Amino acid sequence: MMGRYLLRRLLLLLPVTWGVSTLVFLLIHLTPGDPVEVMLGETALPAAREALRQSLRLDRPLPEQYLHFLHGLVTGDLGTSLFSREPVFARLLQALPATAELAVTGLGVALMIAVPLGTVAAVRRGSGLDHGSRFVALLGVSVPNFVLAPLLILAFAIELNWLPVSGRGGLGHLILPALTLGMAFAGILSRMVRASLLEVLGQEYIRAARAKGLSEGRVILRHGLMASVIPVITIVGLQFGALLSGAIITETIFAWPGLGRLTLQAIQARDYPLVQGCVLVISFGYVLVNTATDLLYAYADPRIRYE
Amino acid sequence: MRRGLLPFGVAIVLLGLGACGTGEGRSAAAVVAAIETNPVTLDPRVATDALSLHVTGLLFNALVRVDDHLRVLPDLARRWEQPDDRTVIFHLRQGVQFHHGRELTADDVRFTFESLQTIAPAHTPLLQEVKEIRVLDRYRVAFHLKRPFAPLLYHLTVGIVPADLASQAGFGQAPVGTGPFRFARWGQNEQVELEAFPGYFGGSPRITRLRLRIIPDATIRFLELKQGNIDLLLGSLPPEIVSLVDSLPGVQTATGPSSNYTYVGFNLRDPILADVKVRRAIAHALDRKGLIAHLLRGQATAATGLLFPQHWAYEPQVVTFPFDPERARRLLDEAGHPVRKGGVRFALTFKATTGELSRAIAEAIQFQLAQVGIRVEIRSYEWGTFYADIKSGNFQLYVLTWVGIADPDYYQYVFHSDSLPPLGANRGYYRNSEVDRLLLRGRRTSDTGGRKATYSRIQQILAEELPYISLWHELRWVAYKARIRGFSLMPGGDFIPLKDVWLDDP
Repeated sequence: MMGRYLLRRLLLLLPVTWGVSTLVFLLIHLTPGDPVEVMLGETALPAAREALRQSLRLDRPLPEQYLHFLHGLVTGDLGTSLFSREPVFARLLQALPATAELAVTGLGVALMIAVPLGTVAAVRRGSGLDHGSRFVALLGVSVPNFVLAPLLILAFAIELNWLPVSGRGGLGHLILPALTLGMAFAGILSRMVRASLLEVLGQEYIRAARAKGLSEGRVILRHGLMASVIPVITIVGLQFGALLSGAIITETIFAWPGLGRLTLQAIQARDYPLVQGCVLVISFGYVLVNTATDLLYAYADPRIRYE
Repeated sequence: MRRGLLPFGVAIVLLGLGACGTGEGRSAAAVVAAIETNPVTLDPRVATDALSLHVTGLLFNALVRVDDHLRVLPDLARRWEQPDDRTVIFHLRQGVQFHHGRELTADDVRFTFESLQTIAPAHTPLLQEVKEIRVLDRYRVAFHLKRPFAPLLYHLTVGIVPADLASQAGFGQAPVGTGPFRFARWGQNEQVELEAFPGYFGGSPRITRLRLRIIPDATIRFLELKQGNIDLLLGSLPPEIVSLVDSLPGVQTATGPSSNYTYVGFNLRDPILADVKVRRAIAHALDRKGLIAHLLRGQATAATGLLFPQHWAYEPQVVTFPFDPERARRLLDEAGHPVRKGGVRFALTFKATTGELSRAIAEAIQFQLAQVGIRVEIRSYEWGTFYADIKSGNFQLYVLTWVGIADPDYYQYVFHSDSLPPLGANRGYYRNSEVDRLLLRGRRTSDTGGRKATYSRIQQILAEELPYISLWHELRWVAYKARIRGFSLMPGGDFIPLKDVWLDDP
């Protein structure tokens, strides 16, 4: 029964992929700016431009280019980058590990900050700790990552010299970028944890658990948090997709060779096949994460079942 | 709660591990430099952007190369002769090794240029003039031209690739050349790693490894230099950060002339801007010295034309239009643009990119033109859109920089009446039959003295007619750790001087 549900959700990948790709195809082709111009500069003759356009199929009418693109999609051929002449698939594969590393660690950092913060705020509601945590959450959400990143670098890499400034390498290189990504997310998440936990803690069965004589710790952790986890999972699911695709600014500042930077470069260069490839991966990521989120619901809350 | 301590403990461990990651273990003779973007390709035939070409310059040699004054010098060709004005025979050096162990021969030269036809249409100007390339023997290759073509040698600065490897897919990602460095590794968007090639015909470089780290953000490049994580930074910092570099301990800086040329472009089909008096008035209204001093923090020299002063064809005796707002106002009155209500004579649109410096220049010019009664509206666009507008003539004013000007024949692409887009770069639609005639002469006469005179006249005419207002030549700039010795700046910003660098570690 779960298996059928899972299958149905994965089949959703097909129309979503088609829809997103078509939209991006239209957008990038209708944007002003011609990749052939960018590639050849101005000293090339029209004959040369036409030759290049032909070899890249850019001279065909848009519907024909679209069909060729669809064909590639279906056969799994993502084409060749207009600029580097290398296969798009290879390029995406190179960028993916870096992005995955950063997204997962960013999420981890956010959870490590938000869950304790939100829990303490809910349990000690109205106290100084509660107000303090709200302030920290507000900071996390309001400070943009292009301000946070240089501040973190200044503090930990320059003044204290504990961590490297930029680049991808060992665990040490991951800390500051993940912190930057995780902070804003942690702010939202901690408020969510607090609100959700408060609601659960007011329920009847919590009073019943206390009455049974369970320690406060077990009441909060075992019964409270587990039950309040649904809204949190929802937000994590939504945000994780954003982490995958939108870490462009963080990746640029920390010279992190991920998907966000690659997508931006591809768009600026009007490298159509590469843009399509990047967006495809991102939309895949969204669908997979959302599916995983829904499955997690069922695991977290036994009341939820799928047909 | 015990559980609450766990995340804290994990953080401490991570910080400890992170500290192990800061020290970069590298051998004493390795140099780390920072570059701004990922090279597009390392195939010297396909690369058209400056950065990719700078990197391929370390991996490949060409038939000829240029010096500081943009004069042609031998590289792989030790000498050449011209039996008639349509033939050039190159005598190659013997014993030049490719990185994979084979000797370079005339066949590789012919292969390289013939392959341009199919894979690199950007070299069309050269391909149009060459009738045939013939291998005379193992070390001699002849270029037969359709007609005399004086700039030929400048078009032969394309890196020579090995005929047996370069046709394979992926050559641009794993290049093999004859240059002082050979390719080791390329982490896309991360770094390019090169190592010294001991068999280089010019003598092995003294540094053993060269790591080019790709760091897109200027502030981060500066911070990495400050922390000592990079040894050398070539250009690529905004003016306000450049002044901070001087105060870094253990870091030296040097500046030198550059062949880059920044200018204001006019659309000469616009009814207002078609009048040369208006253009001259605008030239008088601009305080270039002020712009250089304040926007660029002095990191540029005022320009009088496309060619920089050290260029062999540079003409110093041209008319200039010094900062004189009063004169500007008089000229505008004479041109039939009196001041109307609101203190404005007419309005112009200024297109800029979204780059910070580009917009700062636009705002400064807007202010200066307002003083003489011209209201300027600034529209900034992302690069692709901006470039498309410029090429389609959809603009009135813009500021851009020409990069990589070598042979003065470049004027042909910019100012000849046949070079209107999409055929060339004459985006302002400048037309002058005298200049056309001179440009043709400059292209077809081989005698350097004659060419210099021709291009002198062209520079004089263009300075009078002002299809462009010359702004400045930005200075080349390099910062390096004191341990680095022997680096010299080239006007084109080339990386090749790295082959002569050595490390002076006490």
